[in-house]
Amino acid sequence: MKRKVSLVFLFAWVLSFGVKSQTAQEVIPGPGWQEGWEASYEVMSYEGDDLFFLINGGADLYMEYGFVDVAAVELSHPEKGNLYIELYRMDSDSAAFGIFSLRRGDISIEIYPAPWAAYGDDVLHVWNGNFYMMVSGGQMKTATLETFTTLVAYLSEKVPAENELPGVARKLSRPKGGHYAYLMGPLALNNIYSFGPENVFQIREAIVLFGENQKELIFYYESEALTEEVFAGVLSYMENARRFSDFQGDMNSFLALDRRGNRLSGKFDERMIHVTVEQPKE
Amino acid sequence: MAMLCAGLAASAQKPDIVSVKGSDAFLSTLHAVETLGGMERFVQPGNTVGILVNSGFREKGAYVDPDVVIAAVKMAFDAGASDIVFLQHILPEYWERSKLEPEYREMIARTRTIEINQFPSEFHEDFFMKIEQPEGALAAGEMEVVKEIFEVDVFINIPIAKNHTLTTLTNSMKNLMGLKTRASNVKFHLDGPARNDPDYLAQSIADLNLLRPADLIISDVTYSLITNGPSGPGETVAPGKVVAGTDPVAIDAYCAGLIGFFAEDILTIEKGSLLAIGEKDLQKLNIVELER
Repeated sequence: MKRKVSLVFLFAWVLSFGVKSQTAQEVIPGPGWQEGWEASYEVMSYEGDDLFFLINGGADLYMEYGFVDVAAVELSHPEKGNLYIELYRMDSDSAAFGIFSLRRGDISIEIYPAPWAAYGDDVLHVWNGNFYMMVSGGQMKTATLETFTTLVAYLSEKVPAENELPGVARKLSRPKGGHYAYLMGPLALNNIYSFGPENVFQIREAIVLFGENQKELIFYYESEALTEEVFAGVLSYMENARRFSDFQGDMNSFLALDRRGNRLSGKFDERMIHVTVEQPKE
Repeated sequence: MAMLCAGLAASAQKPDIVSVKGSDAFLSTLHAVETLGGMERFVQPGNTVGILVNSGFREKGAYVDPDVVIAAVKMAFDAGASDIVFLQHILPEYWERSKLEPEYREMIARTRTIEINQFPSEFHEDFFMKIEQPEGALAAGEMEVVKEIFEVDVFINIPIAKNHTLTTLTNSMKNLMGLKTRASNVKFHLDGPARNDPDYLAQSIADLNLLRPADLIISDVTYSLITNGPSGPGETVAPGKVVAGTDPVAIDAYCAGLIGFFAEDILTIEKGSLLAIGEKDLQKLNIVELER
C-alpha cells in the first residue's frame, strides 16, 4: 500500500512537472484546435531576449517580470473570421498574474478562480498558472464571446492550474474582480506613475489599486527596518525633487503636489509604504 | 486666432517652436508649419523628402493622428517635392483611420514607402546600411540604418509624444529608432552595463540623433498615452496640440510638459543636451503658442 501511494505521488509529481515545463508553443491553440480553424502562418515562438522581435515596445516590461517564452499565431475560420493569439510563459504564477493585471487594463474579470479571464469588445486576456494569454478578435465576424469562452476552456484543460496569487495580492481585502495591478519592478511602476528615473522606492513588489479619481500604491518590503530606511529616502526625495511642490512631511507621512496637480499622500506602516495619487478636482 | 508668445525672446525673431492648439489636427499642422516659416523654408521644388512617422500602434494616443501626416505630405507636395518616401513602412489601414483619406487618397498613392522597414525589420543590403559609431557618440556602436535617410534632400520627423516604459517619454528623439533594424535597436536595450539600462538606452538614442538631424519635426500632441506605453491601453490626455520645430531636444522638452511629464526626468533630453544636439532650456527659446 505504501509503495502504491509513493508511486501515485511520484506519478503526480512527474505529471505536474511535465505540465509546468510545457513551452508556450506546445500549449498555444494551433490550427485544428477546433474544427474549421486554420493557421494563417506557422506558429511563431520566441524565448529570452528574442521577445524584442515580437513586441514593438514594452518587451523590457515582460523581462522585468520574468519572461520565459512566447508563441504567437493567427487563426482563420471561414465563417467566424480571424483571431490573433499570443501566449506567454512566465517563470511563476505571480509573474503571469502581474502581466495579466497590467495588460487587462480596466476590463473586469468574468471568470475565476482559474483561469482568470477578462473580456473586452474584441480582446481577451487570460491568466492561467504561469501563462498569460492575449487574444485579439478585431477581425472576428461573429460570435467573439463564444469563441473566447472556448479558448479559455481549452487553455484551462491544457494547463490545469490553481492560479496562485502573489502573497501581497492575497492579503487584499478587495474582491478578486477589483481593478488592481501587481508590480514587480521599476519599469512596471513607471508604467503606472513616474516618480522619476531613480528607483527611490526600491520596488520589488507593489500593488496599485485604481479608484475613480485616484491610484493607491502599496509597496511591500522584507522588513520593517528596510521599510523605514526606504521611506526616509522617499521623504528626502519628495522634499527636494523639483517635480514635486508643496511638500509637507514628518517621519511617518508626507503630502505633496506634482506637475499635473495630482495630490500625493504617503505613509509607512510596518512593512508597507502607502502612496495615494489623487487627481485634482475639475 | 489668438496668439500667445510664451518665449522670452522678441516675437519678431523666427520661432524655435510653434505650438497650435485646436480640434482639427490637419489644420493645426498647416498653421504650425506656416508659422514656423512655411514648408517652402524646408522643401525646395524638385526635392526628395523622407518622412518618418510613428504609425505602428493600434491604440489611439499611441500612433500619430494620420491627419497630421496628410497635412505634412500635402504641404511638401505643394512646395514642389518631386518624391516623398516614408522611411518606415505605413500600413494601408493606417490611412483609413483618417476621415480625410478619401479626399487625399490619390495624393497618398503618389508617395512611396520602404516596405521592408516594418516591425521586426531585418537587415537587407539593398535598403539598410551599416554605420560605424557616429562621431561624438558615447554609447551606441555600429547601427543598421535605412539607406534613404542619407539620400533624401529633406528629412521630416513626425512623432507622437507619449509614454514609454523605459524612457518615460518617446517623441522626436526616440522616434529615430524607426530608422533602424530591429536587431540594431535591441542592442540599445541589451548592450549596456545592465540589461534594459535606461541610461544606456537614452545615451544610445542621443547618439543616434547625431546621424542625420531632421530638417523639420512635427510632433503630434493632440491625444497622448501617458501610462502603459508605448502600446497601451493606458491613461490618456488630450492637449489638442500640434508642435513644430527643428530642434529635437527642445521639442521633446516642450512636449514632455504638455503631457504632464517633467523634462528633467527624461534622460534622452539630458543626454541630447550634453551632446549639443539641441537646447533643453525652454526659457532660451522663442516659443509661439497659437490657439485656433
